[in-house]
Formats: sequence, C-alpha cells, structure tokens
Amino acid sequence: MLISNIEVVPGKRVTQHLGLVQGSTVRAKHAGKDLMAGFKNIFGGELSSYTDLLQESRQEAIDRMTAQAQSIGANAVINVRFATSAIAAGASEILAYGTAVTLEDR
Amino acid sequence: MTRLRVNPKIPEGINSSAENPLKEFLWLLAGVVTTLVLAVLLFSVLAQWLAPLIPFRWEQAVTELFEQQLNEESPLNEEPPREPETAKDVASREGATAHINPAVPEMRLDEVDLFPAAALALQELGERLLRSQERSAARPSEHIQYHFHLLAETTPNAWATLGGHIFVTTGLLSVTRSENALAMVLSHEMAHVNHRHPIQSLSRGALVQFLLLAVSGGQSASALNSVLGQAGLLTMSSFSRDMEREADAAAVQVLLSHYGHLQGADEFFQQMLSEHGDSRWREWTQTHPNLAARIERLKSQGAIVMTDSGGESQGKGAPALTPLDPRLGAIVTAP
Amino acid sequence: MEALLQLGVFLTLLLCGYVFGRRAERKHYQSIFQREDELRHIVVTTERVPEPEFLQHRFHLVNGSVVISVDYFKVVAAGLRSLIGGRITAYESLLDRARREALLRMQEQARTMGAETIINTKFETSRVSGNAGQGLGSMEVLVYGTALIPVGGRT
Repeated sequence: MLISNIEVVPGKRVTQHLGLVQGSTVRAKHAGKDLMAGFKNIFGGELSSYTDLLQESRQEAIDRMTAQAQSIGANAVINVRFATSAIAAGASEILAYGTAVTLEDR
Repeated sequence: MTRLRVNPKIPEGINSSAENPLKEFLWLLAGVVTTLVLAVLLFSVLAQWLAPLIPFRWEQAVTELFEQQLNEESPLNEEPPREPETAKDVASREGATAHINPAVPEMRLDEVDLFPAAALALQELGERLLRSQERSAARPSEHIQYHFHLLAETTPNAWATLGGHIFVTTGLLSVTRSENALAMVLSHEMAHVNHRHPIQSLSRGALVQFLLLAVSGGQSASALNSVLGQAGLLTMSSFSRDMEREADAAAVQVLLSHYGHLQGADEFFQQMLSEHGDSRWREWTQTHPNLAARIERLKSQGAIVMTDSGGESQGKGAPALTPLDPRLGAIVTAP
Repeated sequence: MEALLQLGVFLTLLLCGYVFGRRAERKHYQSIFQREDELRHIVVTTERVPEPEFLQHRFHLVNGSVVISVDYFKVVAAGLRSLIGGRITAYESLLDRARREALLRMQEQARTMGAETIINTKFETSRVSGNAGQGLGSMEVLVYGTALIPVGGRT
C-alpha cells in the first residue's frame, strides 16, 4: 500500500479513482504520564510521552485509513492529509484522510 | 483512467467499534475503583504505622507555636487558635451528632475560658482520669500532656486534636447528668490522643488528598472525580470507625479502673440515640460506628446496667452514679 | 447520606446519558447510512487539480459543518479511560458520526448547486465551547472543498 501526500506518483499511473478514505482515532495516556507531563511543564523540554502518544495515534489513523482503502480494492492512497485536535485534556484526536486509487506502472 | 462515478461503500467498524460501550465501562470502573481503594488502604496502613513514630513533642511544638502566635495577637478579631487541620479532625473525632461533617465550632479566644471555674473542674476531672489511666491497661507508652478546653457551643460535641488538646462543648455538659458519662467521653478522647489518632488521620487525609490530586491532575469529568473521592473517603472512614472502637475500648479500661463499674458510661450515647436516631445501613458512610453498636459493645464489656434515655437507673443494686461536679453543672443553668 | 445522594445523582445522570446517547447514536447512524446511499453520486475526493474533463466547469466553495456534544456516559467513560490510557472508543464513534454528517451536509450543498464532484476536500476539527479543560465540551467538525459545477447548473 502506497501512502503519499503527493498527487502524481512518479513512474506510476492512476488507473482508477476510488474515493475518499479516512482513519481517525482518539487516544489518551494514563494518569501517571499526565502527572509527569504536568511536572515537565515546570522545567520545559520535550514531553516524550505525548510525542509517543501522538505518533501512535497517527500510525493508528494511517492503519485505519489503509484498512478502508484496502476494503474498497485500492493499492494506494494519495493526497493524504493529517488533522490533529486536542478534544479533551490529555486526549487527542488524529485524523488521516486521502483519496484511494489504484496505481499501475507506467 | 476511470473517473470516479460514485463514492465507495466502505465497510463499517474501521473508525468506530460496534461493541457495547457498557461492557468496557464497567470493566474500567471496577478496575479504577479497586485500584484506588487499594491505594488508599495502603496509604492508610502506612500512615497508621508511621504516624506514631513521630514524637509527641513535635505535635506539641506545632500547637504551642499556634498558641504563642495567638497570645501575641489581639484576641478579639483574630482567627481562633486552631490548626487548619482541625476541621478534618472534628469530622473524624468525637462527632456525637449524626452528621458526617459537623460544622467546625467557631471558637474564639474570649470563649475558650469563659467559664474559668468549670474549665478548672474539667481539668481536675481529666487529671483524676489520667491517674486512673496510669493504673489501667490503657496506659500510653510515652509521656503525654493533656490540655482540656471548654467551649461555649450548644452542639454536644467533644474532640481531640494535635498536641493533646481536648475540647469539650458546654452543650455536651448540658446533656450529661453524671460525671461517669463525662468521664467516658473524656477518656475516649484521651485514648485518641494516646493512640496518636489525630496525627494519623491528619497524615492519612493528606496522603489521600495527594493521591486523588495525582489521579485527577490531567483529568476531565469532575463528577467522576467526586465519585472517586467518595470511594477514597469511604475507605478512610472505615479506618476512622476502627479508631473510635479502639478509643471506646481504652476508655472502658480507664473507667473500670476509675469507678470500678461502667454504670452511666453509655448515657451520652443513649442521649444522642434518642435525639437523632440511628440507622445501621448507613454506618459505612460515617466516620463513627453507629451509636447502637457502641452501646452494645459497652454493655458486653462490663457488667453495665442499662440506663434508659431518661437516665434513671433500672437495675437492682446498680452501682451509684457519681454526680457531676457542681462547677460543671452550673454551666447548664448559666445564661 | 450526602455520599449516597451524590452517588444517586451520578448514577441517574449516567443512566440517562447511556440510554439517550445510545438511542441518538443508533438513529443518527441509520440516517447517515440512508443519506450516504442517496448522495453516493456526489463524488468527494482530495485531489488538488481537477481532471481535464472538468476544465469547462465552474468552481464554487462548498462546506458542511456540525457541532456535536457528548452525553454524560461518554464523558465518564472517557474520563475513566484517560486514567488508564489507550483508545477512547466513546469519542471515536462520536467523531466518526460528526465527520460523516459534515460530509453529507457538504454533499447536499453541492447537490443544490447541481455539482457532482467535490475536489480538494479538507477537514477541520476544533473545540468550540464550554467546559474548558473539563473534558469534551462541544466539537465542531468542518469539511470544505471545491464543487465542480457543470455549465448550466445552478449556483
């Protein structure tokens, strides 16, 4: 499965447009991590637990988008975009969406 | 290349799960509440072990600091001489009223020693009990100094706080008819001090507060927090009830040593019971064991003869009650 | 007593949230399925450049938005979940519904214009109001794109 945010994939040709696919997930870290993040806010620096959280979420969103694309017979998703929003304290929503297509070597 | 003619029909269940949310919810709730209760239990046991290791002198030093401050300041418009924690102590100490959180009696310096004669009588009774305590099995392991205070407050109540300070309200004196009943209450509070209960419940409260704060730190749903807080409080109040039972048991020892009988010891509980009623089913929400159970326990511990709520002795050959010191009795009739 | 009262209020709210929330969700999904079938011919893609065959079409911005709120049950379930960490399924289905509803509204707008294709679709999600820091207040999902209207279609 080819996932890309470009429209025209070099060396490939879009044979069929299959439509919009999207994957989204809402995730949270456990309270201990939230607490540590609170302490970290005093000293600054990277909140690695939240970085992990967002990375995991993004991966899951991509996986779900891929699952949607596969279920309609696509072999690539092009023009992929991400949207991130904090919907509650310590919980974030990640959305990945794009156009499912079938690609063929030119 | 084919242009898209219709949107695809994508199968359900990729971005949302069809599972009933109730199942997940119940599992989560059970898990979180169990963990929290276990944590509170752990903290409470920890507090119970560690608090008595704090030397009593430290407690005294803290309260002395407050007293000093108070004496320096103008007594009329300053805050009363109570530690910020006293409110919590009052809730967990001898709250004879049926409320879980009796209002903290506003105690002002000018009220503290409003009745010098009565306060002196109270102190004397306390000292007599102290001597009996020395002879009884309930003797404290380290030297503890008690301070007895009388408060002008109509709610019958008595409690012990840090530093061996024991407070009795005039309202309590007005519902006790014999010295025995008052002695029961005083030795109960002295037992609290001996067992270091004030500092235990204080440190327990602080630890649990910290735990709840940590849990709810980055947390949403305020209602959920209050429910978790209640679970914590209920766990704590079971410890508080254990403390009351412990103090009751010690008080019985002192009373037996002092008077040789337990006649009249339940008078105050009986009085409260007849005024407020009691219910067994909500014992678990309260900091004190229910009154009926306390009376039962008292009766089983000594050859106590039941007194009815009117205070009349019914048993034949019941040991005579010691009358209340006239100086204390005078308060009841005082304006 | 106080504790029991609080617990009672809490359980009542929870039950209300659960019963009404579940019913609303089921109904909403039914309506989404039905309308998605009706609007299936309004094609939505994320392409940035229109196909050559659309060069004679007119373009117009279309959008659809929806503001959703959670029920009490979901708030509590999500609160519990965020203590432990992991996927908050209660919010996932909510946002899934919201996003599909917003898409449907955009498609309906495109249909009234006579368009059959929407390109360069983009999503936005934002928290709009209430309960700042106190869980999910209200979420707005906005979806927008460019409708390609055949000449002769209505604007």
